[in-house]
Amino acid sequence: MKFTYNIKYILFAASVMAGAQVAAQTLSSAYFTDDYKFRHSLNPAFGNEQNYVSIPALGNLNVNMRGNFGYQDVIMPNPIAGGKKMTTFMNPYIPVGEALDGFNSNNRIAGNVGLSILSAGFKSFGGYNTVELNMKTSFGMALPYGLFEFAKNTGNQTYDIGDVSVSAMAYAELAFGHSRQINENLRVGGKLKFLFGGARADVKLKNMKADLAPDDKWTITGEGEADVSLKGFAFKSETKEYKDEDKGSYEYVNDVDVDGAGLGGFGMAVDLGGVYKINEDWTVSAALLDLGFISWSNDVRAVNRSKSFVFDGFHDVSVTSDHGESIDDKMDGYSDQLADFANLTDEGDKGGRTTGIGATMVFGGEYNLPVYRKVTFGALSTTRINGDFSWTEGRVSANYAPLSWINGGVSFAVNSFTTSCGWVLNIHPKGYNFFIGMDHILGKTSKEMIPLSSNASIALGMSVTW
Amino acid sequence: MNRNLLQKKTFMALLAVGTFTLGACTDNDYDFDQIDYTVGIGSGELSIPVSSTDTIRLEDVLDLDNSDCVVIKENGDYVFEQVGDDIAPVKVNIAKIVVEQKRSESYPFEFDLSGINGAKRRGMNRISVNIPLQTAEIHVFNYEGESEEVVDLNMVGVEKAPVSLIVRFPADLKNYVPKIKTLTLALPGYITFEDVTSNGRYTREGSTFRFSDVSTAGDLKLNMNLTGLDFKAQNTGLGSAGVKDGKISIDGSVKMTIDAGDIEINTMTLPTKPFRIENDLVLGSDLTVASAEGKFNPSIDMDNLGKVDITGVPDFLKDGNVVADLDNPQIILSVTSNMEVSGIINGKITSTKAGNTLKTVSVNGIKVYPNTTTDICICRKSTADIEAAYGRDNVYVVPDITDLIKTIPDNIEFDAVTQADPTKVCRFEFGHDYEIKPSYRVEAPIAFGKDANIVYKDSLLEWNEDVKDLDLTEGAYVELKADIENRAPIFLNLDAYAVDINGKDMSSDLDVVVSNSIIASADGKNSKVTPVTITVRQKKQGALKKIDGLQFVVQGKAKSDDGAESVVGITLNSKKHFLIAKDVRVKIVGKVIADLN
Repeated sequence: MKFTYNIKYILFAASVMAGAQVAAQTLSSAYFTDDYKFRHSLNPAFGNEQNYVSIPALGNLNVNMRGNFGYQDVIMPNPIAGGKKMTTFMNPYIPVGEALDGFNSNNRIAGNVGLSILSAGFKSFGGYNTVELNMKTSFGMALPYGLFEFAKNTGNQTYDIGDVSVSAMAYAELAFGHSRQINENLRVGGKLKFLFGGARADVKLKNMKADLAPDDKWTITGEGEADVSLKGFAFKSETKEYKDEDKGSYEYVNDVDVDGAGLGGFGMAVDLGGVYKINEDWTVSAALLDLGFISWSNDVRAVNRSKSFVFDGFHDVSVTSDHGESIDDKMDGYSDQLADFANLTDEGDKGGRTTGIGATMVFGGEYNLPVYRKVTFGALSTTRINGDFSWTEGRVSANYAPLSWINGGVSFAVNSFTTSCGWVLNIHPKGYNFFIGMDHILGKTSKEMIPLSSNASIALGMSVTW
Repeated sequence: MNRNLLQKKTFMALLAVGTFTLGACTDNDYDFDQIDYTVGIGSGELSIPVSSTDTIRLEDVLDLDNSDCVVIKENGDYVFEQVGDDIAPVKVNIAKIVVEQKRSESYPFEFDLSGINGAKRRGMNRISVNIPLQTAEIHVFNYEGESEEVVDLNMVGVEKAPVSLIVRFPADLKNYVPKIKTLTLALPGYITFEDVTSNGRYTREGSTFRFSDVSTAGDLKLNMNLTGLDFKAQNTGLGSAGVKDGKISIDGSVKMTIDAGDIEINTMTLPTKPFRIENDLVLGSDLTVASAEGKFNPSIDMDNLGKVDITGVPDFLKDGNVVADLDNPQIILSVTSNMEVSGIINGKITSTKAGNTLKTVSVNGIKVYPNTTTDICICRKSTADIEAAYGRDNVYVVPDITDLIKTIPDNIEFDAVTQADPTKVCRFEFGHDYEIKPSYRVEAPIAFGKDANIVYKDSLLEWNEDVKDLDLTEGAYVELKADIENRAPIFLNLDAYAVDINGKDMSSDLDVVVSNSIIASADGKNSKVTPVTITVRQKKQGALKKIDGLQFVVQGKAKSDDGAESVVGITLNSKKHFLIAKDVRVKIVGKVIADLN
């Protein structure tokens, strides 16, 4: 599939990635931090002691990226002396084992970026209520191991590559939450969210397979599909002649156009949660977040015309141009076949679709140290259910509240991508709240500030409290 | 104080957090500008699917490029063919032979009536007597002529020479013999006459005229036209005509015989002496011989049968290593002659190159038949087909004729000494321009002799645009294996070398090795299959970037590499002889490096 970089593409990407700086998402390290004002985002059953209003656009900034492969797995030190310092894993002088060592059976990068436009929480109606307006963006990329193996170690064997997926989505949500104490032990809560879809794009190469084993032919199969839901979006196509004159011409997507962007879809979601205080020491909790959908008004689709490319050698090649087919003619035939396989054809607007927004299940257990109540230990299980971009995490944390206006904690997690260390600091004197935390301490980055491991997280925000 | 301590602790905590927050350190090695985008394609070994070529006929490969000297016949055979210059016909003429009269003498006939016997009285003064037969030579002639070009004569045609013979009887003869019963005039038997007229009544037997009841009251006249002379006539008691050493001699006499029979004479006036019968024989003073049948040796000024310039040599015969040892080259000589005499040509054929003589071969005793076109084939060996085409007698075997074109010459010249066959009898018109027109062509079916070697060159170029960013890892190589089906009766030795964009040989940087030669078809009808491996290997890193293609040099030979086998005598055919590369497997061992920087 071809992508040309131009202003329209940038706009398209920007609309998908809008509000990419921060997110009112989840800071798992703060799940067990008392008076972390945005605990209700992690479990709607949590309330706050104080009312709050977030500083507009600065109330809850969150950037979160997770992956089980990253920059450092693709770019490696260059073994060639005297050359550039780094090289790709495809460098011929990097052994296959070493080059593929950083990849897993399913290589994924997923990220969430969010911005809280405005958020407020107040006690009323017998419980604690929240009103939020957030911008959320998520993206994900899943690349099967077979793809890297095929690229690095192309040989006469069969590569069952699988599915390659890239997905991105942006929407705004208006959420109304309420939580209340049911009894001494149990507190429940929920949120109703109205979702306003900005854009969604899903690109898939399904069932990719490269069979180079037989000595009489190579077969590469795959179903390429691109679905874009964005108001005013259209693929732009170019007409090209097949190299075989008898076959005429074909159209292929070579550009995009966004004409009058706007609301692309509408949906709803709910958050549900509960906290149960077993005793003074133990508390358990559970929540189901973002259980919902967005119904998009359009679904502009492009697919590859042919689902397979077969190369069975060059047969009956003529050595003259007087008769028969020369090797150039044969190459033209394969070039035409490849054009049908590798290029996308615009199928137009399929008339809308409904997609989930990726639900999250949370289970927590907290232990307040009886001998020193300022310390609590927590264990949190988070499972994000989002198709190819699903992940699971188990995080343990130690939280300390030395003073009434400051608390924080450190955490350690193992998730589907990596192991993480996190921390949170919550400063909440009278009238003000500031928090900052990371679920994954930012490790090494490239010169361009790209995390080498594809794992990074930062959240911070400020609110006024009373 | 507690508050200060707390503030300090808070500040330290924040500082730690800040440090922690910004604890990410930047590894400047990971810089987009510092990434080498050199990639390797392939694993240890990658084979592309089996391929094959179309049937590669010799016509697809051997480019004649509108050659003047190699053509493809209708049946597809390759033939080396070059036609000689168009030579103007040679004129052959034997001048009319003038045979000059050397002697022509007449003698009177003494008709003697004395010695009469057996008289019988018939009246008072008349007696009947029988006059005996009397014969006498009345004329003698002699002609002589000369011609070096006449070896022998059988029959000669003479330009009409009127002959007039008058017999004059004496006036008083009639008193005694008023009529002669029979008067015979005998001319030489070798003379042929036409248009005979006479005032007497006669019968003719050959050249003898028998007149009866000849009146002696007047002259007896005999006229005729002499048209020919039979030099081989038998029973020529009255002379002869002959040729010896170019000298023509015609001798003859005329005899007259008178048979008076019984006559009655007056005894009163008995003749006392013979009657003198005079005669006049008028022959042409000279006889002009216009034509003849005999043996001749005319002068034939035909010492050069022309030159063949070898032009338009196709590339596969140009190379310095070419040995055109053709199995059966032929020189087809056509001689058109309207002479009735056959000829003999003794020839010398010479090939030259750059002014130097390559080879001279002699061919002698070539017979040219009279009054026809004689097609002669001079060849290395005679075959049933050649004999059927030209006739066994017209085929002349010269075993070393192939040496004329083993190295393709610039030209071939045919010198000759031509003469008529003086041993054969024929007819010749003297003074007539006969024509002999020779022409020849060199024709050699391209069928190999045992030392033959042709060189075909070709190239696959314009690769550099596609490969200039590619390289091979150390030790990597490209291997091509194929089964070559060969139906051409040629052993093929393939050599290849890489060239750069300037066409320069890259053998020092890149090795192209061909495993073995390709076996020839033994009969040109059944194929032989030879597995061949071609390996391309870099000697220096980076050589692949410079390559623009491969130059192929294919040597086609009659012998195998070890000389143990050879295939000779089968003419290369543009359509029937072919190559096919089957089961072509290309394997890359090692990795191909692509520089994407």
